[in-house]
Amino acid sequence: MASREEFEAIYVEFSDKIYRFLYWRTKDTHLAEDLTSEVFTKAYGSWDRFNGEYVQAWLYQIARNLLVDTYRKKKEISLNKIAEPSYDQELIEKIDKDLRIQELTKALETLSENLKEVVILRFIEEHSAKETAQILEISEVNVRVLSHRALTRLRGVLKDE
Amino acid sequence: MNKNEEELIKELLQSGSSSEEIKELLSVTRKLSQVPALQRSENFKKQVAAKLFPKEETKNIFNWPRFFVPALAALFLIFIGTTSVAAAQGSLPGEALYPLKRWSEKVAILVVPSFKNSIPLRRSEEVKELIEQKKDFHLFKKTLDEYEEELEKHGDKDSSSESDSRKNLEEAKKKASDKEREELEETLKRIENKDDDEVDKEEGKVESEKSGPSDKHKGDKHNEDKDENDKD
Repeated sequence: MASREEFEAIYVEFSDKIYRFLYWRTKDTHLAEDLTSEVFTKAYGSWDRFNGEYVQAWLYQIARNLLVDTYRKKKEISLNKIAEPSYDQELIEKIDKDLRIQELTKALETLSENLKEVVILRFIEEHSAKETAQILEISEVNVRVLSHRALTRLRGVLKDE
Repeated sequence: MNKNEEELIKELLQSGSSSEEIKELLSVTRKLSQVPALQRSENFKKQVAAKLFPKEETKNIFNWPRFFVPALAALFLIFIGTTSVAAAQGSLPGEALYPLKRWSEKVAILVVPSFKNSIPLRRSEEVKELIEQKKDFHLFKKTLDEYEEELEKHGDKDSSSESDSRKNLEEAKKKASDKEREELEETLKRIENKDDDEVDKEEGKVESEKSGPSDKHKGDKHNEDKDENDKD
């Protein structure tokens, strides 16, 4: 298992990205925070089995799987496991008040799940096509095709507003 | 223009998009990238990390490498054992640690066989102490009997240990009750008588070694001579 200090550093570096991905996917600040904790708890527990190079991609994959389980209601997040969930109230208020965020949230709602993911990872989080492909476990070609499709759709939505 | 935008433009050109379309799609990407970064505070993240990955209890003895715990447990038991046995040496019959004292004597004899010669002395010290502390008569009597047994088994009348043990009994007589004194005197008398018997036996052996055949046989020779004379 990773040392506590080592994993704390990983958490501090990557948790915001995971949080944002989960927020844009769920539109729920509290659920996003809970899921973020769950992602890192799982990652900490299976760190010994992780032998890859790309920690970021691995964390995103855990987050995606967790979302699938949550939506399919196969697995409820055991909030008991997360000792006393915490929320960054300042950030939550900021999100609630920021109109640009509200506008984007609405726009993303018009996209299918796979297009939404490409937009979040490639254009909001600004990962490269290659990194996005790694995270989503699809080809780069596929990422480009989905990117084009998503942007075209969003162009229509954001233009109208 | 950042690297991602350059990459996107290349892709759009390759896919055959018009410059107008490319321009429009780029404006969408810029709108997307202008959304404020949702970042939790450093303090918040550290607090959450502290809860999710609690600090290990390094001082806890049970987190020590496994071999330290059995080793420490063994040392502790040895320490307890040693101090208990040491404490037991001053114990008297009837006291809690006395069985441990007697057990330690058996172990000592196994390790150092000559230790058995000091057992009578130890019993005599107990007899003396029991009298001084005015302990139960039966405890005193039992210990005195054990002293006599041990003396018979392992005693060496010429050793200083045995003479010291008799001195203990003599001293004990001074503080003993009448009943106890009587017992002590009888025991000492029996010991002396046994010593005398042994001395007699030893002397008897020496005498027989010095002289020739015994008197019984001398009488037979006299009778033989008489018979011879009668014949003549």
